[in-house]
Amino acid sequence: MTLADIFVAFCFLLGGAAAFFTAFHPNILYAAISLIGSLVAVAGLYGALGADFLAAAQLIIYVGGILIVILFAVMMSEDIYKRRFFEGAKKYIFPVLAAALVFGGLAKVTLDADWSVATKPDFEPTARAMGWALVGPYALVFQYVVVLLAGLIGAVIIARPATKMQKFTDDEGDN
Amino acid sequence: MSLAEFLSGINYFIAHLFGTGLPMAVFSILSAVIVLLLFAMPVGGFCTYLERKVAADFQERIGPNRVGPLGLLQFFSDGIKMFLKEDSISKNADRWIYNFAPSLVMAGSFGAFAAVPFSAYMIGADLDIGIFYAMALGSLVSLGVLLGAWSSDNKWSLIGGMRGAAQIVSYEIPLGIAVLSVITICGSMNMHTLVAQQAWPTAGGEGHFWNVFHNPFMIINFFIYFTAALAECNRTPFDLPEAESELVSGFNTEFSGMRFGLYALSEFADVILFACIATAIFLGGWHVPFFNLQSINLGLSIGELDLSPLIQSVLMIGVFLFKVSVLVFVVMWLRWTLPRLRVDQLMNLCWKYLIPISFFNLIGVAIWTWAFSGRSMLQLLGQLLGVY
Amino acid sequence: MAGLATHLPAYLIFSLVLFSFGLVAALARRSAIGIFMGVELMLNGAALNFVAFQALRKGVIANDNWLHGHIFSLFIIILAAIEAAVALAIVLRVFGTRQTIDADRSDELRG
Repeated sequence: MTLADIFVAFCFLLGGAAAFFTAFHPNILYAAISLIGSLVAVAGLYGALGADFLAAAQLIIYVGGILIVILFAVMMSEDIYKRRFFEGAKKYIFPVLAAALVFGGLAKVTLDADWSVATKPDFEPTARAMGWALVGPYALVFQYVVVLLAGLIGAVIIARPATKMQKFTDDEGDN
Repeated sequence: MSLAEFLSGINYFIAHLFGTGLPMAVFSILSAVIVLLLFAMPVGGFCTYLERKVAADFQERIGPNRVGPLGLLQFFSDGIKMFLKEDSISKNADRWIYNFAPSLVMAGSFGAFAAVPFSAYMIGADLDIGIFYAMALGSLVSLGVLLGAWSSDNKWSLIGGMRGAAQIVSYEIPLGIAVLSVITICGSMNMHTLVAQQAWPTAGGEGHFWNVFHNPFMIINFFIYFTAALAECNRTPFDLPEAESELVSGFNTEFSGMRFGLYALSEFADVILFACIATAIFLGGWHVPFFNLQSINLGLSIGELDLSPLIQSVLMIGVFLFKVSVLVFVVMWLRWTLPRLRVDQLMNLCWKYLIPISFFNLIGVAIWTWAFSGRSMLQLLGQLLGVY
Repeated sequence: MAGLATHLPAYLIFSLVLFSFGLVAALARRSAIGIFMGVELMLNGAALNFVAFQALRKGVIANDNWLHGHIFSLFIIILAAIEAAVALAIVLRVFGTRQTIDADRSDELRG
């Protein structure tokens, strides 16, 4: 029962609870905030698994980037303003059933398999190895992702309020 | 020995008392937290006093001079005042987020102090991704600003918070690219390696002196880093999110008492943190010109414990903190000198000027490093003059 | 509890938990952002799976020193970032035209 075990257990609990609230909390802002907890827990687990570079990257990109984007979108959308809190429990029956089936089936497969684990992994710093891998076996994928910058440019173009139709007008037609 | 080794010595002692397991784990976590807070909070508090004195100096008045000699204990009384204030909260404010947001900002600012190399023997955690870790925690600050602004149930706070979050997220890019140029020169993200490579160039050694004088691009990089760090900390001229004369107080309008104290303290801790990192990666950390502090060996010892690392460490910490305080003074100087940038000017500056310049610098630094095998201007000059 | 940090099935079950909750969120949430949050949770579960295997199944492939799992998770993170930008852009545009991002009510095709 070392510090690593306690830390990993804490991350499991935090991530699980946060994921639960993300899925089930009626207020979508609280769902977005509990997503923070989930992502930070996953970053902690990356650290516990020796992926130090990935843990820092997860914090920077996911928590410091994607979550800000999600929070901006939530704060600018109408659900908060109209205070529609109750999603409706009936809506959750089928998704919970489907998720339970997926979880049950995969969990059974996972627990039945025979994972022969290395006794105690000795973790090395990963940054240098990741750099070499990105220009080594994964060079093509690296270049491909760079090309996906086109996706960002496309996003900017989609989001621009180009025509008058996208702007808000009130009943008299004044902006 | 490093801070981690010192704590592990205590840990060893405690482990013999408690055994390993849960008490040990709690003690490890608590010790790290307490040591960080014992450094960051007093220094942050002292910075508030320093800011007021520097402001007074620039405005030709005296500043706090009643509490303690020269007003030095002013931040104690400020802290006590903040603790004793009533913990009021607006009626429609979102309680959970209102309580949670300042702790995010605090976690981001204070946690990154673990990666600052104060001397060759003293660093909180000698991570291999040291500088990257500091940047990762800095990105938690934007979340805290945005959530605090939202939970205040105040339109103006929300405007300030959204501007603040957009500003912090935008300026992380030139900040990261400036740091990336340094990593290109050094080949490692480890803070000890980054600092150790900035030694004074000698014949057999591999130091190339301070990174800021490494090549012409690095000088520009230092200014880009400094500008981006100012924007990250919400300091003037980028302090529109907490503009005093425009949005009342921006995103921390509705926060009072110790909650506001946490925001203010975290902002100063952020300033000190970025100054520490700038010192470590650009200004050579604890290196002084012409002399290698690690070679001081007076032969003193207590019993068989060699005292020279301690003496060297004290000198190194002194040099480091001197450089940090120069940078912090410049930050405070800018606050009372430059006017505030408008939000569109701020964004323009980042996206249209700083990012292209920093990319250009990164390419320039990479080409220099390739062409001259990583040698700095000083090393090339030395080789030209035949010094070594 | 002992040895939890190196217990591979624990990590796999946890990533399954994240995945299942993400599935629930993606299927049941009414707002487009809510659906997107579910997708992010699923991506995180999968990425954690890769890293867990990379860390705790070392030595299975002989002489392979590459960090395949880490690289895969890094690409998942990067692609999730790009996807977030595109998703926000689409949400903004949908919000602009329809004044709602309610996925339950956005089911009519209009010109």
